[in-house]
Amino acid sequence: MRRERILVTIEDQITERNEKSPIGLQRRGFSARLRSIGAISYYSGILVAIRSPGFIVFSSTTPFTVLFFLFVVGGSNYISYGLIGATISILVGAGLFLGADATFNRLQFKFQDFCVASPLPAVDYMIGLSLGELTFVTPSLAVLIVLFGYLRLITWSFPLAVVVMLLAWVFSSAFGFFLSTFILRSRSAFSVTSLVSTLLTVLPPVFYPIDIIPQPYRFLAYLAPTTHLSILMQSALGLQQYPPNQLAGSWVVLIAFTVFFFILAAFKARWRQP
Amino acid sequence: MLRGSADIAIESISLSKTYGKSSRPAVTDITLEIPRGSIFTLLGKNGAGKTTFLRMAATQLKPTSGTIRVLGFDAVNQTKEVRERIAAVPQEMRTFESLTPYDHVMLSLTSRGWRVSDARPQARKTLSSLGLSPYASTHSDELSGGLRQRTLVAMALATEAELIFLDEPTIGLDPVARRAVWKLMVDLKHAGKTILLTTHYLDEAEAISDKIAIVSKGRILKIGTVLELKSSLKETTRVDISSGFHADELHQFGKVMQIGDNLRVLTDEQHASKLASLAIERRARANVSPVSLDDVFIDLVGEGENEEGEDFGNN
Repeated sequence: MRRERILVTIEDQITERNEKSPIGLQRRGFSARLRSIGAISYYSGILVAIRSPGFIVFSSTTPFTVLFFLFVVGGSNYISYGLIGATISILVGAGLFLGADATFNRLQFKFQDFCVASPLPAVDYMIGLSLGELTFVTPSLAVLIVLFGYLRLITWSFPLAVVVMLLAWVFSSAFGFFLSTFILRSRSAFSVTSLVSTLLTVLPPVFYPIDIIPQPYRFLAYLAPTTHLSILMQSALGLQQYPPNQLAGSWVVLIAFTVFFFILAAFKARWRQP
Repeated sequence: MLRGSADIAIESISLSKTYGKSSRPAVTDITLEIPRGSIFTLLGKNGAGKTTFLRMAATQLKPTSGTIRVLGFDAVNQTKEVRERIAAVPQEMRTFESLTPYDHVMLSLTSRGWRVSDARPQARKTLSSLGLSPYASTHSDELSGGLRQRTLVAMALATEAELIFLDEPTIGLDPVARRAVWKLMVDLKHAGKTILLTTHYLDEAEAISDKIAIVSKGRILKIGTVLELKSSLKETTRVDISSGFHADELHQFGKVMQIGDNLRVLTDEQHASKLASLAIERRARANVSPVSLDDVFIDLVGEGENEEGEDFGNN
């Protein structure tokens, strides 16, 4: 108990000293890191969204277009699946779009080099950018959640769906950032991220139930993390009943993907050039 | 064995860098010491290796071999310690169109962990000292190239970091704006900060540098103060002649160079006096002046726009 108190006091003193040290030499306490993340997200996302609201519409065009076609072709039968697909597509798209933005920041604006030669760690930069990207899709997500409510899909298990959404955002942001640090030409940034986005959100059963895919080919769908996102969301919103072992498997795969990509982005992304 | 002395800001020993599979090293075997509290300039043509050296010191690029210590820390293995104490404006950095100069400086400071309440007055002070106050709230896409460049410089200078790296910071600036940046750099030096500058503007190097390293083909050819570099030339005087002479007849007076349509003779005072008298007899136009950094640079590096190959340092 006493030892803990001493440790806390020492920690307080260190924090106080760090906070009071000359500003140019400010060390990276937890609050300083939060401020850094906040700054990156504010100036790369919130402020840009306020000044150029057109980006908000642009970032949600594809998912809502697919949703519209599903509604026209399938009527109300598939609209619930379409809403889930649009949610996943928007979140994964935001993460991957981070990759394109980070590539431009590195190659066109040289902003990544500016950040490298500063106390800002790569992981804080990535979190800041991903929060910034979230700004652009927040209005669309709000619309989708209202539609979930309208279709009476919000039940006691809705918090599970929120956790799935969070995992979708974290995994795709980490993947997008990792990918961005290896893209050599800025003109490739949008094509690479758009291709990956299509591979992850259009081909796998994200906008439709997995039952539609013939049994022998389903294993291919399970390779995509977005399939597991979809399965878990469909279950959490009461659209589909899946066996408990399949749900458990999807949680494990999804968490593993998220942890793997986060570690990859935090430790293996190219922050300093080799 | 590196000393990591308290008086040394950057110390490199046999530092080399070769990019990827390139056969030509961008930087070869650079050994130098940059004193704290000084403005040190790397002067060289495009592709000479200035940016590559700067990027290795700023922890943006890993060296291929050799050692580099920055403010007493190993710039390869102790990046965290180094990065807390430095700031850098990369070459060809660009501003974000939807942000104002004030936003840019605030972004720079708050992303380093500054509190907003500390960052605000610092941002205003820096913008004012660079003459950017009237444009503080103008979106960067509405600013001239010079104002955008000044904004980038403000982002680094506002941090008051111990060591600031500026890679060709005054490119595109008008003479008045350049002088504002120079003044701020000199003020920071007087406040004990160290600045590593790269430039190919000789007047800039001459005006503000405490020491200059002339770089060519990845190597340092000569280091010294402006006076030391000038005195390294055995000629003390130059005579610029615009008409009335052929190059062949000037060789007897000293080293002859073709500068545009004019001829320049590097010589001593006695020969310069004779040549000036001869020019008066022939009613030719001649201008006599002491040798400049320009002469030292051309003597060491030669003429021509770029070095052989490319400096990939900013890619």
